[in-house]
Amino acid sequence: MTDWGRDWPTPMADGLGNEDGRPTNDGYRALSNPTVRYVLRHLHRHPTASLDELADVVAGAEAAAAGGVVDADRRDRLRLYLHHVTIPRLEAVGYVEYDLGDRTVARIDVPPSVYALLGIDDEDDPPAAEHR
Amino acid sequence: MSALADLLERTRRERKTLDVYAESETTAAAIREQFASRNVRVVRTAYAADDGGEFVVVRDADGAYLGAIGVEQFRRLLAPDVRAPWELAGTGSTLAGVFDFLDDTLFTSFDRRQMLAMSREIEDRAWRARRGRLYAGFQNAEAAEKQAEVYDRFARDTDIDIRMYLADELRHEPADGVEVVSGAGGEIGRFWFVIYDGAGDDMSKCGLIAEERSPGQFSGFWTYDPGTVDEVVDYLRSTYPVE
Repeated sequence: MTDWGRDWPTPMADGLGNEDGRPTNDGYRALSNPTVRYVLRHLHRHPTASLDELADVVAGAEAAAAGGVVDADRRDRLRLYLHHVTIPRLEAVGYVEYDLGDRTVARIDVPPSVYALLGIDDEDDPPAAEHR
Repeated sequence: MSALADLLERTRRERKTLDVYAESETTAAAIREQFASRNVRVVRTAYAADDGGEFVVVRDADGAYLGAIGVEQFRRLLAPDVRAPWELAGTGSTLAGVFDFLDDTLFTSFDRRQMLAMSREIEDRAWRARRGRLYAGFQNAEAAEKQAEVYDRFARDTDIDIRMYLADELRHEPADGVEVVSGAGGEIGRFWFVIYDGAGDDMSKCGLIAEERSPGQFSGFWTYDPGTVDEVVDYLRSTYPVE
């Protein structure tokens, strides 16, 4: 698994997209991390999601990719990784907002080009969660 | 109520949810058809999966995560390949993952092919251990004949003892090491079961028990629970002694 957490660059003011909406190299690099892809896929349909929901999603998607079963211990480790690494990084680039109080992730601004790279091509942009 | 029916009833009380993460309803509908019951809820969560990226999360009565498996793997349970236990051994069964994942979960409408595939999973565990005893129930002599090759080979090539239960009378000559309880009638004619006693090792015990609710449609469960396996074995041995 690519460790996106380790080589994540300094966040850029414009998130991961250029002004024309195309993702920069950093966008591609972020998407090379499977956990990031699974989180963004879930947030596409659910503009807000709890940390627990996202942990279930990442565990399930990992099971599908590996062709095996992901048990509860592994799922709990993935939850920690999300909390400490993946979500803060996505927050740092302005894709999501993380409410540490109730451990809820809200999708704020994921460039449509990022979703296009994931093969998710909606005619309309998915509605973002409301800024708080 | 018989012990077998009683066990089914107890499993029926265990509430679980199969949460299908998929883009459309189609996948969830197929799974719902075979598992949905009063106690197994099948729901769908919208998820923008890529190709092959759909999955199923199993939750307990409180919604807590128990495990997850990819839909592709799950599908193998819906339309399984049936192979002999000696062909499964060592190759890593295609069903092993889903088998481990859904133990003690009631299924509601498995067909004969699915029942045979799940029976093979139990037999595979016995084949690998090569000792202990298998208890297999057959609804009739014809069903027993179809599996005679498998059970004769167990008797010939391993130290596994076989005890077969038939509702009617066996029509073929069993191999040495195969004990037969015939003419048992009643529940033996309604239930399909394969139980492996693990040669006394709790970690190896497993079993499949299902009732034919309508012709060719079975409702039941498989289990690794040593208590359940012991209970069935004790019941079979005391209720149906070998002639």
